[in-house]
Amino acid sequence: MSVVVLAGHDLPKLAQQTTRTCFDPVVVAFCQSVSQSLLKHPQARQYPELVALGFWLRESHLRRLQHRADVPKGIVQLPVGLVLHFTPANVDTMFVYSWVCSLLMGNKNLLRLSSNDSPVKRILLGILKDLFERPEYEPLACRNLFVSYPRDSGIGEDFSLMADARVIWGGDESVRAIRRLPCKPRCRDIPFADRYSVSLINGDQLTTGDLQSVAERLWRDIEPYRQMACSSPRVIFWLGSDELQEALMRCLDSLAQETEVSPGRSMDHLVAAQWLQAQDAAAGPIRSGPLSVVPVTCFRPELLLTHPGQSLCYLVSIDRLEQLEQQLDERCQTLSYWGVESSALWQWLESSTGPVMDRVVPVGQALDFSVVWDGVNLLNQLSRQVTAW
Amino acid sequence: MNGRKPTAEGAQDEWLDQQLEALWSADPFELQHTEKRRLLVPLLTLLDSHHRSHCPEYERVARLGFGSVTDQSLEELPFLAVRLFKSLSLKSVDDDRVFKTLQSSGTSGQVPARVFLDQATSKRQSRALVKILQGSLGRARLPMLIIDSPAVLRDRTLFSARGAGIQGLSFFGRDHTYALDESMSPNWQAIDGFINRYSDQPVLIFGFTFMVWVHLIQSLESNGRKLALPQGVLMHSGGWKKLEDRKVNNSEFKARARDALGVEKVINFYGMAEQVGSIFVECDQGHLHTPVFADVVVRDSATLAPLPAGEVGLLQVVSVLPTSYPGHSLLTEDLGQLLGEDDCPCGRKGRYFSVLGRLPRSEVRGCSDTQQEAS
Repeated sequence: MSVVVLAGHDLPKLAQQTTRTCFDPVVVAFCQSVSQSLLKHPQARQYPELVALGFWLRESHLRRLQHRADVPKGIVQLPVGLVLHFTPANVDTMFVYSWVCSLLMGNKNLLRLSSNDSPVKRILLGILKDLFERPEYEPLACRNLFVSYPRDSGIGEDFSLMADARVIWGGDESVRAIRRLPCKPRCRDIPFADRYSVSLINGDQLTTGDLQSVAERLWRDIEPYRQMACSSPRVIFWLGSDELQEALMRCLDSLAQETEVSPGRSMDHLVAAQWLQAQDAAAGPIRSGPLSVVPVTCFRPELLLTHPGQSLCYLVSIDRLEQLEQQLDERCQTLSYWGVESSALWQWLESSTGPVMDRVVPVGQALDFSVVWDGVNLLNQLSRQVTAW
Repeated sequence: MNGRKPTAEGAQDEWLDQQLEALWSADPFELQHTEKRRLLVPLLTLLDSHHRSHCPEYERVARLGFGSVTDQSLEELPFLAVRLFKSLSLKSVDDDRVFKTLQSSGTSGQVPARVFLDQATSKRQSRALVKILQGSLGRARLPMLIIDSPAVLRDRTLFSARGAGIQGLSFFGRDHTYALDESMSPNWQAIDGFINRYSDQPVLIFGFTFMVWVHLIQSLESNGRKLALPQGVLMHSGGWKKLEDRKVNNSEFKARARDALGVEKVINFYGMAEQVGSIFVECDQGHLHTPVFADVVVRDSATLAPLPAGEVGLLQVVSVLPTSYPGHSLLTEDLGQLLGEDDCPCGRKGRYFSVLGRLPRSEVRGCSDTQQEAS
């Protein structure tokens, strides 16, 4: 049972290193290099999530983050130390965002990657390995170690005891199991457990002139990660008139035509649809094609249990915003909206007594990573706010 | 079709059994397609409406996904995705009439499928099995070597699909001898005893494809041993998934089995826990044949539309046997192709086909899995 190093030097080197300052110029330059490599990579274009990551890592964007993160007088921001990251098995770019947040805060990082292979993971690791070999990034190669190791090997325990913070991506069960690993008494956990996300379209505002642009924005949210990221909308709540509903779905469908389809997708969609129908949760008829749409009479989060991703949307009609509250629970992460006045939404959110999602963003931006994720400011959580005057 | 379709509950089973008489009395591989369809389609239509009125889950899927009852053709019959038997309890009888619940072993770590059987369905299954296999095995009960452990039959209330398969085939045998011990290693004493008693007469050997391969053929080969059952027939089933991973196909399996076991014939059949009894047996040409109680449709894996012979798609299996659960028409996750109808050189009538492996399962899982991957 051993640790396989995927990128970076080795454990002893990692242990010897000191942390760096927040927004260290070498770190920012490194991110800019990752960005360039991603945006230039011949295969990256096939994966919208890689392109999005490439844009997110540009120096200009990181500088904006730094600007916004400006800490109040009397507070100095310092690294927490060694951050241990448990990354998700199939959503390969999400962990890069939380890693980069930690990197920007000057921390040393140890990342456990799953043993699953994927093209996206190969591209990412290839780029990191190349950059780590450049002499100017040697300090980062020593301070960041990407590994994989078999679970239940005891290695997780050892690593956990070294960590000053743990970033845990995973399903509820995995997160629970990892949080049970022994750790330092002041170790911070930042868990990203099972979440789901939904969209809200106001049919009363929709005109034929809007169809194409709304469809394109929705598709931007649905397509990446084959609709399996926590932020990927899997339910579309339709407010008001359904006159243009079918037309919008047709537009979405033609956008979906262009994606590569896995051979089991139709079967997965059939199983999901029949499972919903059998339980009297879905109404017919069901639209199936590159985009499948299942009309769901009354949504409850359990209905997502068999959701297989790959462009399947549950469609739920509502007459009032308040009906959302009854159908969603605290596991709802992102609500992306179109055609609803943001002021009306804020008013609704503020007056809501039920659970409220962590993100409310316009349709088309559901997957845009922000340093405030799942209600947590990662830059703050991955640094210490030292009071000094 | 003669006889009026009854509407009263309970009478349907009886009516079905009456109509089935025509099928029981026929040779299972003798009817040409027009004649077979003439008998089969009304029965399947009747089963469709039977399950619609007795299984609410089936009724909703059929109504919402396929519309009202039609009796036009095989291709128009509603079908359930076979995976649903893992996530839902699907039955068309009251709980007190369920006398056996079949449980498929499933791939490790997966939820097993559950199939609810009443007396009538179970009886039909055994009867069909006899009709189908008599052609290959004859009428006399043969000494039988089972390539499994006796432990598999121990729990009688919760039947595993493996147990059900062994039980079903056991009907054709006598002096049932288990070739493996509880740790799934060859029980050489039992095997040698069996050979000493029966090496000069026809015998039946039965096991699941993968187990026969791993626990018997490979054990024999690594021990440098060969059995000699020159009048033996090895029947095996259970799918090629695990053997595909080891790059073993049907002809390789056949050759190595013949060599290691010293048997005359190796016959594969295709069937599933969700449709026990209606099995599809391979002929000398290596083609799987549909008996008169059952049929297959091949569907495009993307559009789910029926495909003509020669094209590869998902296998939909239909069977007139199940009344206690809605399993008369199932879309499997196996890929196959129709090879023809009524014209196999072996002389059997009806559709014949081949199975080409499993539909690849999509790997997508999402943010939700740091640990569950194979490691």
